[in-house]
Amino acid sequence: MNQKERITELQLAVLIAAGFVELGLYSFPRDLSGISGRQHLFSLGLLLVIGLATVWVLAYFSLYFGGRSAVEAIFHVVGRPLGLVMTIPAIAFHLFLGAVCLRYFADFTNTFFLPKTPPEAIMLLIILAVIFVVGQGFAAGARLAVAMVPAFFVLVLVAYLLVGSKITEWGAVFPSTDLWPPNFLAGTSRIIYLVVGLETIPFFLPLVGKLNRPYLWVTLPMVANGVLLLVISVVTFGVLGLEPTGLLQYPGATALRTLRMPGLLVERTGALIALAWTVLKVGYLGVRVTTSGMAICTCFGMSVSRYRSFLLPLAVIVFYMARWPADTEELEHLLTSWIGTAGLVMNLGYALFLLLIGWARGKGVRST
Amino acid sequence: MRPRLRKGLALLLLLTAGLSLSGCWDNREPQLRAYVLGMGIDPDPDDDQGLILSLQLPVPSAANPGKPGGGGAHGQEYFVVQGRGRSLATAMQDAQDRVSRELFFGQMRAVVLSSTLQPSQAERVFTSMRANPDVEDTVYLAITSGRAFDALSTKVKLEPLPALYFNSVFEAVRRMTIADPVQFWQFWRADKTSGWEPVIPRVEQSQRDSLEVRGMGVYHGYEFRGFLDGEETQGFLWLQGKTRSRSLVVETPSGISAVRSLGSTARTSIRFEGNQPVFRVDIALHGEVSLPPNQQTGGARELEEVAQATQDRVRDQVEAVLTRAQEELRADIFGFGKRLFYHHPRYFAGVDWSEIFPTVKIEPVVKVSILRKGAIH
Repeated sequence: MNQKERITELQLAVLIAAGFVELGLYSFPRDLSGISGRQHLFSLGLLLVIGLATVWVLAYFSLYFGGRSAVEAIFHVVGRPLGLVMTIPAIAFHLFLGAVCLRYFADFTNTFFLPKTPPEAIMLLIILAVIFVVGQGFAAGARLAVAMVPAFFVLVLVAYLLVGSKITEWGAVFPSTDLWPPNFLAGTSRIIYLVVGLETIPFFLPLVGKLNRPYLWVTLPMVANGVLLLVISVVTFGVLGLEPTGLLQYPGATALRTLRMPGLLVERTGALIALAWTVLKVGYLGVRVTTSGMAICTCFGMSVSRYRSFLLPLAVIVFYMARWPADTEELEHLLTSWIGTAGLVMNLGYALFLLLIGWARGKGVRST
Repeated sequence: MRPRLRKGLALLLLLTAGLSLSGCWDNREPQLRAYVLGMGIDPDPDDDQGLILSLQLPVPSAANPGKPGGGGAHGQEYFVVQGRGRSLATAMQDAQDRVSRELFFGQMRAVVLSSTLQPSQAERVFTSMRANPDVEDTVYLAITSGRAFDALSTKVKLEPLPALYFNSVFEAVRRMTIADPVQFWQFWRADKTSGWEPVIPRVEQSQRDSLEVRGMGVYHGYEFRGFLDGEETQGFLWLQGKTRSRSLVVETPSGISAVRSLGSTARTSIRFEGNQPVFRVDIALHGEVSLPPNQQTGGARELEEVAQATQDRVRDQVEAVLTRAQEELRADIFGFGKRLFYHHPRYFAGVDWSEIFPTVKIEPVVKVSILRKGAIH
């Protein structure tokens, strides 16, 4: 990357957030309801611990291999043939993650706002927006993300805090003191998909121009995500109650729909959130396509700055992958059954594996 | 790629994207919509499983009397169209066949149900409403012992459209209506929560051209169990900690007095006596004496008498609703079972709450504080 394509630490933090916050944001309380019950906050706490451990390990991984991108580090440690065997499934997985996210958004929009519009049309529009944004270049995308992603966080938080005035079911919010059986463990494993998509760290951290406090800037997005998940969980359970939350497809969105502000410009908060969510969706997909393009560039021995050459084919692949799940039920099954676990393996598992080999072979440029 | 080819492709992409800007599949022009403001649901007398749907539609031209085709000051401002079917969807379709414009439920403000709906009919109605994305979760519900069609057809004073009557009644937080507004999501929440049964405010046609909201209809699941009268509804509201700007007239040795509630709270705690849960509800009412005994500013003794009399009155109302709910309606509309479910899940899982609720001990403890004597303006 040339100097113009370098990013700041703030842009790094925002890009990390854009790359993993969003998948399952409005549906995760349902996944917690039936399993964790009143231990749902413990599930979220454990999830945050896993998320923080993952970002720290990935940041350490990136620093340890001295500015090499994720795929360069893989090739450096295990060699090119084995590196390709490890990299190709990772690229496919992260593109599929983008596809699931795209389909999730299309189904959600189709359910709540545009029931007659085919999900494919919604997906196509998002894909076109992604092509446009990513096509502007990495630095421009990063600046756009800084303008949009924090605004989304604030908007969602304000909307949920307003809905928070309707909380009456405190019994569903407060954690149960009865921790046996520890159902929250199973609950965490079910929502682990909320912290996948962190491959952004080893891709983007080496692109930071002046790196002063890397651990702080990779921690911030995870903490912000934790706060967001906590607020959504408390408000959704507090407004809807424990059992109704488990019956709804998108309980987080339904909780928002209980708020009406007659006379105000924005009478329906749900529509406002959907608008902001669309922007976040473009960011999420843009990050997936960018990192995949960078990985492919490394595989072909090209400079990572040429990732835009693969933009169109990758966008087409994501679009077709997004059409694979037959319906929303299958999509939800994919999310809760293996995407979370696979994502953790691709992020934390890969990083730990490579670090162990790197230590053993002395491949790192940092001793600590 | 050659620059000219690149520009050509960009232009092609731009034109393709432009096609989508004219609107999506869900684009509906406002002038082509029929806005449903109120929906009534009655059982079909000719079909024991059938539903009669009544939809109240405003006539847009009546709102523009000066324009050609406008209804003018004496034009019909709304009309009620009906549809029949065994499900809400088929009844809606039937109603749609009688209207030229596409029915739009996104602005609907009230749904009136007949108390004569069978549980299976009510279940079909609520399930369909839940599945219809156009129906807002915040739509108000009301129940009537008569026909829902009549409630929707009544031309009410002060409001141009009957459906707006419900909006005005339920959204005015300071009015003294003896009913608790219930939105669709709140009904659904209570229905789907263990140990909690839903209620809906009652509306009746009091005269030919007047509606009255007073009392609550009680459900057990989707089965309608009966109505709470005004006193019982007051008691229900005290137990929910939901009374404000409501006056109570009480009689003391010094004369008749009126106390205006400034606010109340209700806190429920659970203890076990043997293996049986006992619920204690502490109701704290803060009020002011708006009408002192003997029309004079009361002294400390008189105020104490008023507080005591108010306390007795509130306790009577609370005990009346508890007795009715436990012995006759057998429906936990207060959510005592829900508290047990949250705080003692193992105990709750081992009992049939519907069975034991009528015999559960509930102890209301009422405390009235007269904060001020009230001012004579």
